[in-house]
Amino acid sequence: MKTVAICCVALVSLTAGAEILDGRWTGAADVPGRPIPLVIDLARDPGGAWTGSLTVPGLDVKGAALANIAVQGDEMRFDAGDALGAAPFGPATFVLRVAAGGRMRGELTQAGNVAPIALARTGDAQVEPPRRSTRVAATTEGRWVGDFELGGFPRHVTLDIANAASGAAQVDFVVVGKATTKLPVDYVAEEDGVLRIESRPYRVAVEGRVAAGRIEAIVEVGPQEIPMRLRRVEKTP
Amino acid sequence: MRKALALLLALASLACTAAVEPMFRGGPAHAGVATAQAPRKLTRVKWAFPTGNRIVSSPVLHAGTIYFGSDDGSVYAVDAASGRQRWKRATKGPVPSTPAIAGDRLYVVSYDGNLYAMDIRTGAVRWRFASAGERHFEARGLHGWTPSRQTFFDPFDVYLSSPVVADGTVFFGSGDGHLYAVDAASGQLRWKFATGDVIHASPAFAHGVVYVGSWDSHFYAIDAATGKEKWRFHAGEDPVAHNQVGFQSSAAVVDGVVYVGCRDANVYALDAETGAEKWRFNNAGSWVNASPAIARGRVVFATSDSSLFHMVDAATGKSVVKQQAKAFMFGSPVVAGSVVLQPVLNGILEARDFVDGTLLWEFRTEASKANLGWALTAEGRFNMPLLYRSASGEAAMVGLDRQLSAGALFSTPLVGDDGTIYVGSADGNLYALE
Repeated sequence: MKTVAICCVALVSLTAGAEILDGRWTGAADVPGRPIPLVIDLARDPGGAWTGSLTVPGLDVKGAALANIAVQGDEMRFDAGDALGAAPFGPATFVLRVAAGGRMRGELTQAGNVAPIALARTGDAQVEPPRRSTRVAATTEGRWVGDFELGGFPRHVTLDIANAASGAAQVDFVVVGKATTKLPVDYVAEEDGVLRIESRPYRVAVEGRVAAGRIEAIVEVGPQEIPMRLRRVEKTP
Repeated sequence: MRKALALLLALASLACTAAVEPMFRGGPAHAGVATAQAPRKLTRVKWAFPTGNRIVSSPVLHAGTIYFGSDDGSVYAVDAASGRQRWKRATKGPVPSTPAIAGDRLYVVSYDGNLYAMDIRTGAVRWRFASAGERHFEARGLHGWTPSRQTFFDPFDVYLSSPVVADGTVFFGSGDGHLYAVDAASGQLRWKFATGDVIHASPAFAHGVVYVGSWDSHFYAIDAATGKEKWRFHAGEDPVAHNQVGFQSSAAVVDGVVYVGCRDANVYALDAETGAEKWRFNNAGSWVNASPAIARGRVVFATSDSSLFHMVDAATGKSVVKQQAKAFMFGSPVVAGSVVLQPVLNGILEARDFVDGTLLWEFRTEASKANLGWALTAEGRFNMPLLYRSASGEAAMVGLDRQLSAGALFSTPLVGDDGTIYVGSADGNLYALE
């Protein structure tokens, strides 16, 4: 009888688990010597897919979008994108399982380290919508080149900007210094004539006003801001 | 065959090495070469001696006693065999300077701004010489930190100048920008030489000349008798972030050549007589804060950000050996027979083969193993995404504090006559290894 009862409870848990994942979950990863506080918001979007965001007070992480969310029964897996470090440190991965009493337990893995997580449901989900790239003006599309100096070494920048069919702009961002580096661009936006392009994994951004075939820009490399003038050129085949 | 070669090298090295003197880098010329062979295999931790704060100072050995400073503000004398305390003497500031011993006196600099002369048997203070006061290197918008108009002290400026004693004179640098020459017996000033910024490197002494670098981007050769400048060498500048500037590394002077690392990412070889540059080895933006060791025609040094262990030809500066370490290195390599000991800021002491630089063994502090707050990755590298979250100066200070929680080894290891290795850690312990 007792076995049957346990089986019933387990079956109910498996079928209902996905729905009770919804909400704001607050707790910590038990990292030795310095627990990492966690606030995880989980919800379904209008299409029924799971979305979520992560906040880590003290680590400058607020509302970072969760990626690769997978739910199976009462277990959820996702990663934090580059919020807790891009490769080779990340992405940080989370495995969470529903426990009794509005709680979840699981593990955080980051940079090869693993720590247990304990969370409690503390309210409704407040998933922060991810920042999305926008379209840019037609006059901004095309190839732009410029130069700046960092640490005594010259760098040549090429930006190929184009609006994609899906709507948002996409950028090929190449820096040639001692080596040639193609930076992954995860954010492009143009608002009121100010263009901003970000490569967060490399902590590099370009921001400037587009006018008369030029962009008077600032290159942000980590904490450093370096002026750079970009000029439009024709793409060579 | 390889063992035989290593043994031959070790014997050759021991035969031609001058006796190690109890001062930073084993003598006034700072060659960084031990007289004894370090073990090629680590057997055990013989003892650990706890102090009240991190140990940045390097231990020195004299007549069976280990002497060193701690950032808890005291100078310690510890029995080398047992690890038991013989005496301690408090100063009024951290002591990240390495003591120098001459006769029956120990000389060391404290952050309280004094050069101390202490009795080596009791620690009794014989005299104190006050500089104009200690301070860290500082600059507006240092390292690109924000706010950019804020003046930040440099938390990576961890050392104080370690005195060198020669010809009855104690030479040391100060945060007040001066190189001082003080009478070893009386503590009276003989002369002082002004530079443009902090001097926390240890001066080297050879053939009547004192050699030291300053954070003003110059390296100086000063006549030891008169305090007059013989020559100066201008290294790199960084007027924007003040990151790629200044000498934190102490020079080694061997066979008429000065070898020194610089925060401008170069290791320089300079003619000791004229200051003319013989060669430079560029490290692509990575600081060289460790002091080079010079042995058997090789310059041995380690870098900070790029975490590379190098051996280059002393005559040409061409690379002979390059090995990738796991974390930043500020502590200086010591050549001990066929072994090179290299302290690393992840709390690990590496022992590398002198021939090819391969890792023979490593000692990991308990703090490094504990990995509080995941300061390290599972592989032992610094976990940068968790340490340095933003460009704010405050965040950087917090990040460094967390980084040091791994038991960072800033201290330069000492090899005793019996091969025992002594090294200090930011976890507050002085370790004896065999």
